[in-house]
Amino acid sequence: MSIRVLIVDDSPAMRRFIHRIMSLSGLDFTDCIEAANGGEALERLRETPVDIILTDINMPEMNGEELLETIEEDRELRRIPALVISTDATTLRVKRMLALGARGYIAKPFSPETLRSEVERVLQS
Amino acid sequence: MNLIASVADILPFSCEQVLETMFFTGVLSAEERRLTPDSSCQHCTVTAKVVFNGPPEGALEIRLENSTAAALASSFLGIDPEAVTDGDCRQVAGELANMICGSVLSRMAPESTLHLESPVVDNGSDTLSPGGPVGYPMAAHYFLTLPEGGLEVSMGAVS
Repeated sequence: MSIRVLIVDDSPAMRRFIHRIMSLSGLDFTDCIEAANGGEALERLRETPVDIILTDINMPEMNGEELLETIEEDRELRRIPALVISTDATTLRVKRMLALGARGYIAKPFSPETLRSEVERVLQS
Repeated sequence: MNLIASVADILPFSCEQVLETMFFTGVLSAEERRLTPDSSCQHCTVTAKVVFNGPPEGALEIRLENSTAAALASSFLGIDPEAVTDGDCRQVAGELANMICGSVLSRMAPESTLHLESPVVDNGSDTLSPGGPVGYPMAAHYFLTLPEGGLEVSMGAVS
């Protein structure tokens, strides 16, 4: 299966890093679509189908929590699995994001192998 | 656990983990220093600061030379060193500060509810505040030697 990924992060450098890691992952990877916040992510999702969402939490305008809440309320969008990638690895935050529907949580810093294996796990589940 | 002792223990470990995992480099040496106005890097031209609210609340600040920032940006972004722009250096310095700060706090206060503000990156700052990142008591200050050059990291916090 060829996969298309939506990367949601307000840091252009982090979006480029994740894009590069995905490109080198060995997964059958089509392309990455990028968004700088939750609002932009919803626009991208309405324009282009994606197979997985990789989202940060702390972002301006619409953050990752609000994005997951909105996705969970949408019949179509909630079918797309979301992985959270964040510097915040506190227990409450991880529980909160998983309760909102995230299929996994990757704490920064993370290795390329961690990202690849988590994406693969979520897509196969 | 004493906050200052905790930060001083965790900070170098978090720096090393972030640099090894996401910048594909290492720390040759980590020296804890008492910060004085003339002790900071004389050639540092990129400063990135992250303010956090918890508890604890405080700020983390990193400083590095342009050449070090460019080398780290090259590794992080996977581009040739000659292709690295000033904008790349600023973005990557901000992300480095953000990841170190998040890593320290997640270890130091795993049950807390934290909020990290977006990194603020500046050029040309000559000295760090001797009292710690502005407005917070100094908790730890390290000078790290990387293959790419020096990296100063300071963290100030209150419980």
